[in-house]
Amino acid sequence: MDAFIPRMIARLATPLILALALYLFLRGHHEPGGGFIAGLVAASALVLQAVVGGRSAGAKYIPVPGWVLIGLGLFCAAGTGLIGLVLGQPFLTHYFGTVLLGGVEVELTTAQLFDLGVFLVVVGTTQSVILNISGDRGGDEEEDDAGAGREAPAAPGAGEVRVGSRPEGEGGEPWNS
Amino acid sequence: MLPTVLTLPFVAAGLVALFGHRAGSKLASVALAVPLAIFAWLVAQVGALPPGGLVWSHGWIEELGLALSFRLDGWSLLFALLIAGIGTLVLWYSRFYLGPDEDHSKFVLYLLLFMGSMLGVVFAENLLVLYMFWELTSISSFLLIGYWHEREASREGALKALVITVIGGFAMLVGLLLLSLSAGTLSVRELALKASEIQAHPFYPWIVGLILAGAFTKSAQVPFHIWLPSAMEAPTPVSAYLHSATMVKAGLYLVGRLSLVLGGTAAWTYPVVVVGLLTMLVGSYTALRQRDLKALLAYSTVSQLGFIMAALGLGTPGALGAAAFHLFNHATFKGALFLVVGIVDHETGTRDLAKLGGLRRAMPWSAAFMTLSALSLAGVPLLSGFISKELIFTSLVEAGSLMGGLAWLLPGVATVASLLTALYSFVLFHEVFDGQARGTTPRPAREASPALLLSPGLLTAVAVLVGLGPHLVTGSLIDPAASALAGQPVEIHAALWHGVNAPFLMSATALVGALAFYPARHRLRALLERLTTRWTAERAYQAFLNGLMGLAQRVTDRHMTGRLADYLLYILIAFVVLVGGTVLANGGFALRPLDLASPTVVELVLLAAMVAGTLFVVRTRSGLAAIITLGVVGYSVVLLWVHWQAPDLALTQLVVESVSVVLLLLAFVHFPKLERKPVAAGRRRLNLAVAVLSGAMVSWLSIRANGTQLFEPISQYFIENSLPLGGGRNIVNVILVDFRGLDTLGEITVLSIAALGVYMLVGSRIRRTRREAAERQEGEGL
Amino acid sequence: MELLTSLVIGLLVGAGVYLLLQREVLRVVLGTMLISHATNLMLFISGGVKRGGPPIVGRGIPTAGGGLAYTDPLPQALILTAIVIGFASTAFVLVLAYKAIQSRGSDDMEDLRSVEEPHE
Repeated sequence: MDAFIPRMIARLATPLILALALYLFLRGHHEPGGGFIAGLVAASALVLQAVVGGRSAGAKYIPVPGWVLIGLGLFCAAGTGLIGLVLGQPFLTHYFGTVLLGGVEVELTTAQLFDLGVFLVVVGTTQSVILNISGDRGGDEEEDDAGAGREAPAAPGAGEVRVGSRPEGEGGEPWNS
Repeated sequence: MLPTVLTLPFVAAGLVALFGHRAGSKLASVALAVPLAIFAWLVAQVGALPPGGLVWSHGWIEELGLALSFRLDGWSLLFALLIAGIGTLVLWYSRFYLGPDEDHSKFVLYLLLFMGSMLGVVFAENLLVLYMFWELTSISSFLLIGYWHEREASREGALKALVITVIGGFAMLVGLLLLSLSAGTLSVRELALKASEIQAHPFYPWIVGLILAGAFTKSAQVPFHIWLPSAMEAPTPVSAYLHSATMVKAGLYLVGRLSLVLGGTAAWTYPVVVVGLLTMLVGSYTALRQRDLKALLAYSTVSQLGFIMAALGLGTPGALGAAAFHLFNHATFKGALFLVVGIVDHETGTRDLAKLGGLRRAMPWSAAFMTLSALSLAGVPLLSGFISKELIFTSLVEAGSLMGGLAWLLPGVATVASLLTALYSFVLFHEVFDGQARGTTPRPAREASPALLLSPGLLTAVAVLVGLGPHLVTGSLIDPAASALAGQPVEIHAALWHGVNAPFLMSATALVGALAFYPARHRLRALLERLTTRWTAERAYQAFLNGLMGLAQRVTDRHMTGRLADYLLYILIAFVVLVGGTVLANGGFALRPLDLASPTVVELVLLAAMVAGTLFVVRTRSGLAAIITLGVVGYSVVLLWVHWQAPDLALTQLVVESVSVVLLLLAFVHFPKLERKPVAAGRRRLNLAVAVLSGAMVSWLSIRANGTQLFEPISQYFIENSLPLGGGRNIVNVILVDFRGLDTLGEITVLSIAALGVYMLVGSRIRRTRREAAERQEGEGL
Repeated sequence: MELLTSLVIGLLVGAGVYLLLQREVLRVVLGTMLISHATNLMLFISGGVKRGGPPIVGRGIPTAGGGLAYTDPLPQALILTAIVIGFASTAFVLVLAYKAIQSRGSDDMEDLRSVEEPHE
């Protein structure tokens, strides 16, 4: 599994997938897409990285811990809702309008900001799950815990388990299929 | 001002909780300021209350018509004065009563909490507010009874008090809700205006029964009285305060408060009067049997509470006035008695009548206070108890005169009970203080410090002064209280001498009889011992408690197996039975014409693929194949979304399906070999049956949902307004982020919680790994 | 079409429930996924399958009345969130199962009963 070709594919595909996610996110208000879908697509790039490069590659792929993303996302979504409150409207009232930026008409909506919150939460949640499932045995789980690495630096490669290789201590023959 | 007065004890309690432990035993003297201030304010209100009382109201849960409203009228004022006044004295007393090593801050904290709750009960104008404070008093009483929590008896007594009063309180809550349903309000004042409407309502008997259950349990009426003697495990100041002067009178408060609303009918009067007099009788003869001074006082309290309850039940203006007066007197002289008994216990180390005797020489002040208060309890002229007892007798005789041939019954029972009361009252001071000093007490008797004597002394002084000059309190305090209850001005005629009439004869009979029987009291006591029946309320309570525990144990053992599959089965069976049963009962199985879209070839193919895939997932023994086949089912769903023109769904499901399959495969690596574990044949059949039935039920619901349209779909609104209101052409997205944005916010919160759950599962492992790493390093260091 | 789909939904639920009641953790996870498919489908067809264009303003199919026919957007919005929540809960159950298996070395629900933190 440590093969060259999957790694190359992953390296090439990741920017494409991310671009797709961005595209889906931006057009979500008018065309199929939006925060949920874009978040899942971005997360699928993470899955790809984790499958090919193991957990550490996945962790490198998004350097921000999942819980930070989730917090940011919730803050973003709820904060957008507060705009309405401040302006004397019900919670989560949205506003939209267009502004001219360098001669190009750009549409700005608070809904997009809300959607950004959704996007972040979806990415954060998926990231939390994936990084915790994809081979986290050993000492490298501190990676998503900021600062922990300083206290107890993991021995390089010590805890890295590639997907597909059976972790030790879980004896028995391979699954029957 | 009312809310300030009410919050003061709670605020003080908060401060005590935070800083109280620093003050040590001096805390009580500081905290004294709270009840004293309240008392002073209340005294200023005497005679100054506007008609209808002081009212303060604030909207609380307006949807439920629930207002946080309070009122201070005559009846409340009487109680509030007792609460604050006796509260002050008890706080002072307890500062010297509790040893220097005991936890004073805990005691003061609970006492302040109780004081606030009790004030809440008597101030509440809305009955639900009253209920809230009512239960708070039960809780603070529980805490206070269990103050010496290292004693088994304290814990049991606390539990018993809590169980009985809370069960009663719950019944009361149901009664209050029925009352609210029948009258549309829970404001006492509005309820009083609707009294006739309520009394004609079919709920009326239930309301009376349930509310009286609450009042009777709280005020320790037969057969719920058993908690009160057990509550005597509390420190004596608590017994004096909660279980004699104030909390146990909450039931009386409520009965009085509601007599304008619910009273005046046979359904109200008979239970209250009969239970009251029965309680009086049972309490007095049980008191006579006691050898422990506190137990004697406890049953005496039960008996006196019954006496007042009966008077309240009569409901005539005179009877209400008499009840209010006796309630006041009982609070003072019984408080004094408890505090003196506390002193005796404190100084001699025992409360056992068999060991006490001849203490008058050593403890002259205590003896004087005890004697005067006990004589007041016995109803000896020139003391307060005599006057109010006479007044209640008068009302009983009047009520009896309406009962024809049974005219003697009510006064007769009351006379017998009074005789017994006088008898044990004599015991109280005579056996303890007179006669030969036996020298059998654990500690040699000596008089308590003046500080400790102050509180009972003041209370005794009130009893004597009121006995000599009843007009000191009747005009300013008792009459307004009775007027508030009767809804009309009441003036009671308290006098030392009414001439030779029926009540006087009853009093004389009781006192003379008591004197006559006194030398024979030991034989009488032995006789009463033999009369004890096997089936006492106490046994019933124990049987009830044991039965309840046993039942709970058996039920739990039976269904809490720890198997998730079992719990799921309960849920699913309930689903099938409840939903299926409802549908069946409502004729929902009848077919209705459906407006069906005709299937297309693509749809048929996809559905067939799903059926095949599902069956394979269930049948296969290979985990890998199952995961991949499940993916096939998922992708079929994706294609259905495509076919049904739902692009957002198709995209989302596509990504979710792919990621899920990958995640499953990632996790699958760690799973042991998937082999079917044996399931008992009966269980397998049950599983299969439940699965088939659940599936059938869902199918049916789905079909039914199709044939039902209760109102016009709202989808058209979204279609039309997506662009103008939401500024987006993708209607699904606009619904998500704009029209139903709050739902989406909730949903991403759920996602976050799932992620939090993942972190918690992993977090414990992170800590463990770190600890292991640290231990390893330590090991290497050595 | 709704009738046929309803029957398939019933099959999915039945199969899902059956899997849920099994002793192997993986089967339980698969069962929840089947049930979540069934729920989504049921939500979709409960208002009747409407033929029309995708719910994007302007993309509807012209009707005889001169308007544009769309598929119903409301169930789609509901299902979209349901899919994502279903995904999150599946993922959570998966992590849970994975941890349980790691600490117990078994995927048997029987062995995972009343799990207490093993004392170290």
